Amino acid sequence: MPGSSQIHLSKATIASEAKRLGAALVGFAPVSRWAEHGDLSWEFDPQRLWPKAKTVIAMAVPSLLPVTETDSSHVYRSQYNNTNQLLDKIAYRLAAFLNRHGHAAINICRDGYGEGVMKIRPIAVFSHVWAGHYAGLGEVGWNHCLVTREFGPRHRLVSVITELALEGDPMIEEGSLCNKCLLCQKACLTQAFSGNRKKDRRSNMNKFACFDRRAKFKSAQHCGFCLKVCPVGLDRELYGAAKVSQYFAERKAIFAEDGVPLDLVHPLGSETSEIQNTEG
Amino acid sequence: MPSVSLSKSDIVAQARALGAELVGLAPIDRWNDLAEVPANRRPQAIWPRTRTVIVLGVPLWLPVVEAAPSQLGREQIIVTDKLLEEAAYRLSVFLNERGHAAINVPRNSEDEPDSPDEVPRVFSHVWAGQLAGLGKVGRSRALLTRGFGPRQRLISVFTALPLDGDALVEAPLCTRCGNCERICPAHALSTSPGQWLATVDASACATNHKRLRAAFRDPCGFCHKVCPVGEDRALFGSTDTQKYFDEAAVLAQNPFAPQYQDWLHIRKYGGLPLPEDPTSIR
Repeated sequence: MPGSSQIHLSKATIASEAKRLGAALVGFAPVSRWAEHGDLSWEFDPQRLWPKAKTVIAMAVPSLLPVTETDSSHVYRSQYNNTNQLLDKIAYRLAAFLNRHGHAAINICRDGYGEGVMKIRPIAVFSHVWAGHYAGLGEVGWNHCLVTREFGPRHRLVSVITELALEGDPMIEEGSLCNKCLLCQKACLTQAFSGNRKKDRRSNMNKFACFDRRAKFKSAQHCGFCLKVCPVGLDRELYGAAKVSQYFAERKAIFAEDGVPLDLVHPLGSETSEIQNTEG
Repeated sequence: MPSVSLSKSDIVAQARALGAELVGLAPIDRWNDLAEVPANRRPQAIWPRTRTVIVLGVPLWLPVVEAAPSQLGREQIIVTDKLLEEAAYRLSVFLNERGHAAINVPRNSEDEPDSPDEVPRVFSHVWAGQLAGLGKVGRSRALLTRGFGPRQRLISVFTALPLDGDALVEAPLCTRCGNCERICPAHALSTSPGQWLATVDASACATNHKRLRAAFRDPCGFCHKVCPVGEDRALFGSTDTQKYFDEAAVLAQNPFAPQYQDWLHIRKYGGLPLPEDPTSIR
């Protein structure tokens, strides 16, 4: 009950509760990291969403590589929905756990958009990707996904925000996971990524180009090329995953099947408009 | 199936393990004297073998409720309802596996204004919550609990197993402040002198919900956010209900008034603009 007095909870207790509920990765980010690093506009600071916020607890569950590789399939879509539902439930129950012990907390749900809203304004109320970055789960890579040691970018994320001040986990050193190999950029069906790898920490991402794939490619409604092509992640070894060249052969086949000329714009082509990354 | 003896505390522990934050039990005879629930909506009319109703609840977090109408609020309802449906179903299976017949009654039979003209209202989880000792029905006809005021979702499991009921909440909980009636944007609540529970204009409430749903911003929940009852208000540090009434006037003077920026931020993203609500399109 919220009226009962506060019961001490350690970071380890909270992390083990999150794992018991189903989280594979758990990290803690003090809210000060948003302002310190300044990657996002001040508007997306956790305290803007909830002024009492002290710590963001970021959690992830993996997207299993062999399923992610079948990215245009019903199986892939199903995995996407199931992992999102699981994450929402984990986050809600972890918030309930904290509240029950007298530490105010709210979960920020996974799906940040009503249907079709993403095409109009592809910015969510809170970025789980950057929360994962500040909580030390991984680093935001060239493809604007959180690249983790365990799963590369093949996972889904959720966040719980609490007024309980907790020590932050060490952040991943910049460039230690994403070495800007640009395979994601080259594999992307819609040339959504662009930029200069010598100057830029990550690509410019044209989210509108990414959404447009549905109109352009009948056989790539649920695309995941920038995820499956990423060479980072211990999961590749676990699954004995396919060679990257296989993905590029598949890419060529999709263009042929849907009658789209291959690489109208060269994948390493012109700069596209910069859109803030606040994936829902 | 062989019957395994189950104590009330075993069942409550299982419900909590499945994610219920509130659990209460009501023997069916408690419906006998409740005029508000007609005979054909009582547990035994729905399933004749019912002996006990187990009511489960999960709270809604005040900081999300008070930012409504927002897409985040809509997601919170989707997530809590899914959790409840699963918990109730699994609790029924848990009882059945031990030889005690049980069924879960889904959430959408609730006498709530989501779509009263479309969904037949089979069973009231709200009145079941009162009879199971979780709280007391307040002026707005929501169940008020000590923990969360009206800010929780409820579901019920019917079982053939006779179990002791939980103690009823004797205190009225509802303070008669009238906040729910005053804030309602649909003017759906009205109370005549001497009337304890408000009369609900379900169609006015539903019309407002449909407007919000079309923008991915349902539910409204204004009558929930304004309720001063609930220990969650102190937990989340939001005890001043006048703030909700002052909002429009303060923001008309100063759209950047700091005390409202969190709600405005939450409203800004994820839903479609509401033409008549300037704070939704900033």
